[in-house]
Amino acid sequence: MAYVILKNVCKNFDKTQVVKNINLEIKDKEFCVLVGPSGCGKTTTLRMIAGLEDVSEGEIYIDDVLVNDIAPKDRDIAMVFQSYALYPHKSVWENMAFALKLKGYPKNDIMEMVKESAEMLGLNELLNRLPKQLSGGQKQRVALGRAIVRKPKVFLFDEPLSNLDAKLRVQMRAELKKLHQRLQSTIIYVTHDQIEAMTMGDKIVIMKDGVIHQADDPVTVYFNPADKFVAGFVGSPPTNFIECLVVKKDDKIYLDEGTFVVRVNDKMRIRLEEYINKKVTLGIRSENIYDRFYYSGTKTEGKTLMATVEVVEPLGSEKYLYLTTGKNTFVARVDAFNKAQVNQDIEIVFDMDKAHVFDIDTEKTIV
Amino acid sequence: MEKITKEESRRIKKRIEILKKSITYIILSLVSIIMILPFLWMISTSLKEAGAVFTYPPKWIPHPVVFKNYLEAWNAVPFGRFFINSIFVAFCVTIGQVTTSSLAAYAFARLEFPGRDKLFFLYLATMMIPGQITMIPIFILLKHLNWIDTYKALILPMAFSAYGTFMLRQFFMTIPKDLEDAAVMDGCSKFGVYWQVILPLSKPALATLATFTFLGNWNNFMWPLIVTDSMKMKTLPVGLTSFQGLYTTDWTLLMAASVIVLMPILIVYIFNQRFFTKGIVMSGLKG
Repeated sequence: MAYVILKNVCKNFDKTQVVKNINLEIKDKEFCVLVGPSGCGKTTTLRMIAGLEDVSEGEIYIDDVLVNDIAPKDRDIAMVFQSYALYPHKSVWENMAFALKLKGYPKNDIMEMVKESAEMLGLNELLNRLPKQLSGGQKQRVALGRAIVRKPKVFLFDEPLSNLDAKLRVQMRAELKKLHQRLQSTIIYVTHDQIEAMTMGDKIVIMKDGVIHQADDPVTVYFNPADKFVAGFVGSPPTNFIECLVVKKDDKIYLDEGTFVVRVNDKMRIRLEEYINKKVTLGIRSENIYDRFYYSGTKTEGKTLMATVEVVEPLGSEKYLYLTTGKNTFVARVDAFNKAQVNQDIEIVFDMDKAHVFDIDTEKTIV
Repeated sequence: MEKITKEESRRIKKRIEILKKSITYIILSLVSIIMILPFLWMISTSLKEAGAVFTYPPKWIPHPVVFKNYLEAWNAVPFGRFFINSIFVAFCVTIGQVTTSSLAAYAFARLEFPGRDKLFFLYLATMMIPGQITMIPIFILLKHLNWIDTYKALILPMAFSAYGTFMLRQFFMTIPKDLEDAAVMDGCSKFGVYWQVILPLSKPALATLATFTFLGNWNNFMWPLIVTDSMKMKTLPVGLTSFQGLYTTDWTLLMAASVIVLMPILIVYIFNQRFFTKGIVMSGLKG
């Protein structure tokens, strides 16, 4: 199997740079997900690894081989496209056997290999059908089959699930993960869906405007975001951001929003020392905001504030409360039995141990 | 009450629909009659005696019916040779045009090279130049090559088509780029993509172009007339003029010969009718 290394990789289209100096190391057998909003350069990066786009600057290595000038077919990689890209004039069998035929495998070997992959994906019944006679999910399977039949070093997936309906997507997500465990191969997967990234990836690479903001495992990305963008992009509902002034009073440091003041914990205090009388962004996830009435934690001193409920969204297992302080609005994820009503003023608690503070200019995480 | 009005309005709508359809059919029928009349007159004349062509009032049903006009026409000139020439030339030109046009169209649609679009528009612009203008220079060129009165002269200048390139380019551009990328990943070269993916997916467009080209060449009169001298190189449309003298025209034989010439084309048309309409719809042009 294989590892992939990107060194200072850039991609320019005419005068616009869409991928800016990317450095990334994908380990052997790793499921690496490139995720970001549309236009962030994730697909371009994938296409450069595939060899479908030239690399403007930098180097791409697969194993120890510099592949910048190696044709896609000689890189020993397979790609699954968003549109599946099945050849409409070829049957499922021919679609799967095409690459093997071009590589000059003997007929018997091709038969064996296609059969093996077809069995793995449950495609045996469909081998003689044309793509137009298949459902979306079946096409997706064939596209997968076409990739795995070649036993490549690296699999590239370009938003392979985005054309499926929600239910099928969840199902395929699990299947892809199973497939990865079974094949034990390196996978690079592009998606714009952060849930897909979180659930599938061993490593998540969060990109925006052609730059990698963070590349880490899902837990790290969720609990220790590198910057404000990552904190806002990962998780649903997104992290709440509140602009505050750092103030010092009685040797304690507080964040002053204007309508409320919260005290920072010791860890934050050390880092925020240099930000006194400066503005920062407080980032707190919805599950770390509690209704004081139901809060089971003990120490709430300096962490509570009053807010008005604007909207209540019951989701069954839980509720989203849209709260406002008059200056800022934010979402709290509370238990389903919470009785808060619209327009009611409630006292809420910020779990400051789980909150983050970001620099207002660089947007980098301070703590 | 309301029900009745609904019923009534539906009935009125239906009547208007029928009226509209009737008018359309009447107009179309009239036009098709106008179109088919010369054709019927040709068949009628081909079966008449020589003296009965210009009788007044014109007779549509010949009496007596003279079938031997066909035999006579066939024997009067080397028709067999003309047939072979026509089929051979039309076939080669069709193969040539489909090949060159599809290769050029693939380059213009999918390959990236500097000045591609400018070159394409320049190529398209050649469609604006009437054939009569290039006729003489090409003739002189062929004369210097010593190709006059050969198959090469009949085939090669016709084996390229800006129209065909344009039509196929438009079609190729509708083929998803992902398919091409997939083929590249699977190990196809540029030509492999053209051969294995683009061409098989373009069968309707290729058939349309082939049909247009074949028929256009089958009917081509001017060019074969200019570049052929000897009887053995003439094609059917040129051969037909043998029945037209300077002062007299043998109408019955000419018409009989015309019917013979028309048969293959009619067969091609009947089988490939759908490609005609498709081709016109696809390119917004008539071949």
